[in-house]
Amino acid sequence: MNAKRNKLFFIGVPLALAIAFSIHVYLHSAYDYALLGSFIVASYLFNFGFVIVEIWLLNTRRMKEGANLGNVYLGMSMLKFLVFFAVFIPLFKMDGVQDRFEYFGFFIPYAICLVAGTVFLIQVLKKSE
Amino acid sequence: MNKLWKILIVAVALIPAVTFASEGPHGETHKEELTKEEARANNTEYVKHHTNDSHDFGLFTNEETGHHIGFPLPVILWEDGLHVFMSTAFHAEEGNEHGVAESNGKYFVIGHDDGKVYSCDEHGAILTDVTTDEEGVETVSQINPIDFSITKNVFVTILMCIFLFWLFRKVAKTYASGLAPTGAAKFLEPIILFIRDEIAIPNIGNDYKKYMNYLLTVFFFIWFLNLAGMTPLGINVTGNIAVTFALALFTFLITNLSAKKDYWMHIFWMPGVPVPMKIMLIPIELVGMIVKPFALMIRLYANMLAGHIVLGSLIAVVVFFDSYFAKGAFVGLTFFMNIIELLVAALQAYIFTMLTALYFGSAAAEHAHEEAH
Repeated sequence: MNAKRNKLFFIGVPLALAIAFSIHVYLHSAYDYALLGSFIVASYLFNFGFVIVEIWLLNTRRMKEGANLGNVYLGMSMLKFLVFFAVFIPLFKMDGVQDRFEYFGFFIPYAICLVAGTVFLIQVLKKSE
Repeated sequence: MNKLWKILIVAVALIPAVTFASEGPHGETHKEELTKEEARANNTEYVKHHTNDSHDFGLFTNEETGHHIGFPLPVILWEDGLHVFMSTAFHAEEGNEHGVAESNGKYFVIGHDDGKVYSCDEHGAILTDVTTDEEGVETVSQINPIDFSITKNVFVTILMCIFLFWLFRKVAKTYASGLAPTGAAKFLEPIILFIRDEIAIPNIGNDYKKYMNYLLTVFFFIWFLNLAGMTPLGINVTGNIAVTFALALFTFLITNLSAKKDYWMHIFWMPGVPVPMKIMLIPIELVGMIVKPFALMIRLYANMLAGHIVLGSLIAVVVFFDSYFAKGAFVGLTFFMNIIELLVAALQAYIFTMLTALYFGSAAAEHAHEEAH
């Protein structure tokens, strides 16, 4: 296990999400929107939890050969889509309106965690050469 | 033996002549009784009958009575419980003019346009469900049960699996008595060797043996189903997107589950490419992973369906024209197209197998990389 790389991710990802969350809440207040509205807390926690599980899975010993890394990454992405469509979309539609705050509330943490997961996968692939 | 093959080829090529000699679609013997629109509608119905799936296996139609001759297949539905009955329950008869099947208090009917089973009332009126969205727009949809029926396509697929199993067991047994092939093995051995030497080994390399089972299966399965579709029985298994989807899905799963590390490296961080380009290429490569088996699915489906539609339309056109010169010309064209379709039947099987082997090869490849690939 590359401790330095893992430390970088386990500190870097929460830090990036925390900064994004702060900016997000500030923008909510600037547009007179409910500060913690559009389920942003749930969106951020969900995406963060998912990327942590993904990084842990990619890191486990049997994944180090590299052959199954891509399958794990794709499987987790598929699972994320399923949860988004099965859980978050109905939540967003509950009030009958799906606005851009709800869209960005999920998309921003999703994009940050997507980049983090992909970069981590690339690092593990390069390391296992 | 050579003579026998020549007779067989001519007989297969003359199959459309048998179809047109039965005096046209749905036994219409007096073309002058039909208007052009009616004739066109008849032709469309004829082509659809030969390309669409159905819940019974129709062999031919009695032109005088209009009675379809064939055999029924099991209908298996799920709607508030399991419903199992034979497709004869859908046949219209006295007292049941709309062909309504009753099972455990539920009524079902076959939709005229698409041949699917729908839930209905006892008079055959299809039940509908009306949904209203947030903007007040109403959408009316017909209620259909979950259909697990053994349709014509499913029946032919099962039959083909049994046939392939029987045939290749027979071929394998002939090698027990010696290396020289006998019987069907004499015909199949060069084809199997072709798939091994010209498709598997060049595309996959040393690891080809573990993929040979799938490659041989997919080639003969597609080829024999395509050939079955050339008969006038209205078989169109590989022209059904669900079948080609399943084959492409198997290719996708085997490719990704047997992939080595280099395959994923080429998708996520391809060597020998500048970093900004790598970042741009990652989503493109990921999409490409899905697009390749998708293209396999569409290619086979579209080629086979289009071939059936063209052949069916040409046969219908033979009946459409009054002039015997035109009829003769189109019979010749249909004969020629039938020969082409025989080639296409083998070609599509070859293409599917070759591209599958190519994808397996890219997944199984392992090699040391320099920075310039």
